[in-house]
Amino acid sequence: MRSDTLSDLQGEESAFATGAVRRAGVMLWLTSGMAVSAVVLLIGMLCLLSWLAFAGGAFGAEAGQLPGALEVLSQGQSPYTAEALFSAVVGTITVTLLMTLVVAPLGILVAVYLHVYAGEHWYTDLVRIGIHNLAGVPSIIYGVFGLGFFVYWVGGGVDEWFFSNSLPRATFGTPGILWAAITLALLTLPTVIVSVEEGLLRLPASLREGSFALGATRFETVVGVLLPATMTSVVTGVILAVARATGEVAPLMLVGVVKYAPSLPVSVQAPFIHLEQKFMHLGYLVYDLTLHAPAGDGRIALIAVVALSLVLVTMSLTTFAAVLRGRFRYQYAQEGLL
Amino acid sequence: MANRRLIVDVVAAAAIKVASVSVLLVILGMFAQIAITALPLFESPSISIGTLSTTRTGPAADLRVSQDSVANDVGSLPGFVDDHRLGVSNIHPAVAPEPTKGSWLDVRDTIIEQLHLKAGSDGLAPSVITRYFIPAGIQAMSSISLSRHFVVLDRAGVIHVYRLGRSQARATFKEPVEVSGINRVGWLDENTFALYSHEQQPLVRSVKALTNTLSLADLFSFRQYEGYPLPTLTWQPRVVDGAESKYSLVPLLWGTMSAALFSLMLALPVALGAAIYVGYYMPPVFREAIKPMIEMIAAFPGVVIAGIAMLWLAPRLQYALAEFIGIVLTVPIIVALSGLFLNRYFQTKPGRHFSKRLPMVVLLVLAIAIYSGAKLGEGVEGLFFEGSVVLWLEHYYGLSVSYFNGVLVGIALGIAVFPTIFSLAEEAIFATPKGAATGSLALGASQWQSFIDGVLPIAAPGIVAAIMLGLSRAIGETMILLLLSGNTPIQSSSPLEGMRSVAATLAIELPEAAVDSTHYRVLFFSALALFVLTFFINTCAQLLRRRWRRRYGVAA
Amino acid sequence: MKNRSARRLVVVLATCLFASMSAQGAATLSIVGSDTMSRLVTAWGDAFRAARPDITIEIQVSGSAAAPPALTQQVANFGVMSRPFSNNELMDFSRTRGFLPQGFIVARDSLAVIANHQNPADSISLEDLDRIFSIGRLCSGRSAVTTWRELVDQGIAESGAPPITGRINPLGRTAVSGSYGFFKSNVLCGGDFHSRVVELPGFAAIIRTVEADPNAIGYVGSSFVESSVKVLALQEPNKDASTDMSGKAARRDLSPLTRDLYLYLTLAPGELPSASECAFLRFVASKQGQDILIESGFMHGDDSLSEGLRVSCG
Repeated sequence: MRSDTLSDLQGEESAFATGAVRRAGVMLWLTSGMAVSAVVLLIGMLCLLSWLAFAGGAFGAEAGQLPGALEVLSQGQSPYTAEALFSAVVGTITVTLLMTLVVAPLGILVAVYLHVYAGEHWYTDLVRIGIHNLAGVPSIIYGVFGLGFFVYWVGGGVDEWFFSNSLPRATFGTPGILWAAITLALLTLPTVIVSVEEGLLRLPASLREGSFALGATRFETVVGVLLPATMTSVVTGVILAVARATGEVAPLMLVGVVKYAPSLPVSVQAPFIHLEQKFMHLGYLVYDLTLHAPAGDGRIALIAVVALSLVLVTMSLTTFAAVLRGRFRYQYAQEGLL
Repeated sequence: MANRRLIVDVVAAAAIKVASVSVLLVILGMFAQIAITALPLFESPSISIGTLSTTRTGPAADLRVSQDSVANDVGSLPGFVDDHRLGVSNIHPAVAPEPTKGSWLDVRDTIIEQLHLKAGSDGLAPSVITRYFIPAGIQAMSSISLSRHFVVLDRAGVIHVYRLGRSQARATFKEPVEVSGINRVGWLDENTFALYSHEQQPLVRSVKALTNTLSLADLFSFRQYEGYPLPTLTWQPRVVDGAESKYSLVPLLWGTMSAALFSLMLALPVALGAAIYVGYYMPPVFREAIKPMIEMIAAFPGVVIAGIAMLWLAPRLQYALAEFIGIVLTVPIIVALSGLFLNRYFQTKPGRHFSKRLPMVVLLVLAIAIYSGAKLGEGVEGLFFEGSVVLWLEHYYGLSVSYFNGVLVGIALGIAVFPTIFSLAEEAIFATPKGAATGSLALGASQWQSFIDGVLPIAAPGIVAAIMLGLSRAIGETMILLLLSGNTPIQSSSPLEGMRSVAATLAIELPEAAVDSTHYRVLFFSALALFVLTFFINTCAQLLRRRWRRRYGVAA
Repeated sequence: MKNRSARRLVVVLATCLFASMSAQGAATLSIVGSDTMSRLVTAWGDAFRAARPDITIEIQVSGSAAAPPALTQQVANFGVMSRPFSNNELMDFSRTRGFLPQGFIVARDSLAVIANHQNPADSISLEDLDRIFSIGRLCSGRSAVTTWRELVDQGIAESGAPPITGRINPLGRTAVSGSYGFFKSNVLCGGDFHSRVVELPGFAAIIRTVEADPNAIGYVGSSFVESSVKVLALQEPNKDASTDMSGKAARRDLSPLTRDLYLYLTLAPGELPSASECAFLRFVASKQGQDILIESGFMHGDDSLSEGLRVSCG
């Protein structure tokens, strides 16, 4: 069953191919201008960052006389060394992936529940409003909540049940990468929920009804028909979640990020992912550098190179997700689900 | 076979329900924590009778209630103009409490006045902040406690507990006390005081919930503070001794909302315009390339945007305000005009879309428009504003222009919320059925008309959701506001001045506030107030969405 | 996709249960507190790590007000502050722990008032600072000042440089900073900052802004001063000669805004510091530690640390 959206057009076939000759209207130009300026903005920001990082930038001192980031990093003034940068990159990627593992299933779960199982009552509307509101809570509140609930209560409980040998030194009852990932997941949950729910709402009723008509149970409909059809919305939600999470520093400061961590959260010794360790994070480094940069001329370059690494890490994660989204779209379009 | 599938369905339904409800409960828990932390702020104090034990357990020093120590006056205060000066406290003797440095009390028989030094045209002069009326006359009075309260026993035997700054008693113990012989009142700790007479055992009264209490008026209305020339709405929590805490939430809420407003003013047109272009006008084959590219802006986290804006943009913007306004005003006009004149060169062939060259041409036009907008702004600045808009505004209109201003915040925050609004709005537009537009197109309507009449009503709920999420992001964003707003709680409506947002204030002050202190609770209350405010906005948006869905709905 | 994430979830949960295998042996010392001392403490931490790699130093500097709660709740070993514990903080501490914290004056510096190089002023009086920064002007008792023009009219510019006429952009730290409290007590006489005084979370941010904005004026710890900004000499109300604050002179005990910098630790009566704490304190008091202190732009503290070491650590 093909749905009739603008999205199932092929190639250069146009929704406006009605046989009449049309001229490009003013609004087309304007909106095209907006889109083009967005692209220009992106390229401009990237160029600016790279220039600041590697060309020294111009900050009142003569350009060209300031050292670039590579020089500063090789000077090795702790903790601004190449090793620290690497450690922060690893930390950022690890916490983001962990967060995705938590937020994607949970977001899908709640959105499916609201859309399929909960029905349309005034209290489900209230829940939706509450979820929207959640997105507006200042991020540090999540940090406080994560500290009180996850670190002390849940973590303390885990310590008592599983790691009572190591007490009173806390294993999970103290800030660490696991709690940071869960806190970030809570932070970005509304984004994913909203995106998935919007995707579900856009599906034509015929899809669901057809599936029921063919005898599928509700669960089978959800898993076999509805979810695959909204995969693109899911991935969009995850993209937005990842993009937000890599930039949130305030909650992380409370639940597990440190300025300098001697060991990586992933390593070759079992169990490979150390969920209770504190970790370094590029976003926190940028914040720290902006406020407490070491004296000397390479400071702006340093901030820019750390910022650039963060942007590149986020970009690779989101590009990977976007490519995935494109393949979903293609795959499910081929199968005639869309 | 069928049974197994049914079992799977029922189990899955139960599991999904349980899991979702638990997630929602965790979310609820977060809100509950905010409320539970904040609301004890408004507990009203009450006085009860307590008993005095001569030994106090706990780490504080032993309480000595002998007459000698009563006379020792450990808690004496500078500037107390009266001979009822007594304070007995069980605080470590090395610590001398100083609850108020900024004001003092002038005590007469039936009136107590709180005075402070106010800076006037000829220096500092005393001025009255509050007057306390005790018609029955004062029998005995305590010193000022660390929570800035004092106790008065009047001759009718009624005990009143007052707070500095508020002429109404915070708590009153109405059962009259036998007053003969009582000549001293002393604080035993922040919540407990005792009435002493020479012969008998002291009568102990304790006041519940005295310390962490404020009223809504303290948080939202104009207040005359010690040392201030006029009543103000001020946010300045006490961090060092002796200062009065100022907890007005109005500047903070105002700052959050104006930052969100400025950012949406800049981001909404661009995000929605881009979404319409990518989702409606543009040939879908390009979408896979262009949409991720625009979404890449989301890869710039708030902290990076904030850092780069503070270090690179802010120094330049202060000189380039006129150019910026010029660009913002002229670019849309020039692009639109060029559309009018150039569109004859971009016509469709039947069945084909517009030339791929169109974005390139638009790019060129954009570049020319930006350049000319900047030059125009400069020129106008030179001609009409004596070379500098900033100085002109300051000189002729008394408008002050700050280094950290709303324009800077608007640009940075706008860049931060743009991807959210763009992504979700574009998805909403792209997923509308083809038939929505082709019908009116076939009847000869222009593309834009078809969009407004056909596609927009169907996509509107999704677009509203996008805007709401963007607004929420703008309200909750911390780093950009922390570094770029100047954190000045000035409550200005001008985009040329700074602001202070709730999120930035929380980031600055929450980690250092003592748990369960007034400051801590007020911070949580500010988050609660923000939550209530956004609740109204989101409710309106949700109602709108429901209505549009019902009217134009595609899916059930 | 669902299968893959389900599998990943199982792996993650399994690794949770085996996480106790990971090593976490080294002793950790945690230092919390003042941004003024951040570079000093970081430098000490680096040098100490080189000498004693088995001890890890964790540093968190946001402001002096972070140290008392951290010490009270036993989250940190040391608290560094650019002001002493306030009475309220002492009370909270003594109420929770039952004794008072132990403080040593480990360094001294002064608060430097900085301005942009385009600003023609070379000095400023404490009175004018009060008029610029405070809302009540309790120290000076005179009217408020919002533009540089008003100060220029009243004779602040002595050099022949062109005057600036814009609105003054006063910069300061956030309320959690000890320097904020110090400025408030010593320059504003306990009065409040005006709401238009910008609050920035770190000294480096103040330096950056003063560099870029000709109308800016701010206060930083003297060890943060760089050549890109100009230090204003402070005129005291009763003296004629200004005290020159630039360069080395800022570090001599001449400025009216000299202050003691503290290191606090918590020791119950009868308790001795741990071995790693003693090692760190010994390092701070040693010649190497003191050299680092001077290099970072501070002045020596007093004997309290050496005395305390002798008594507690032997």
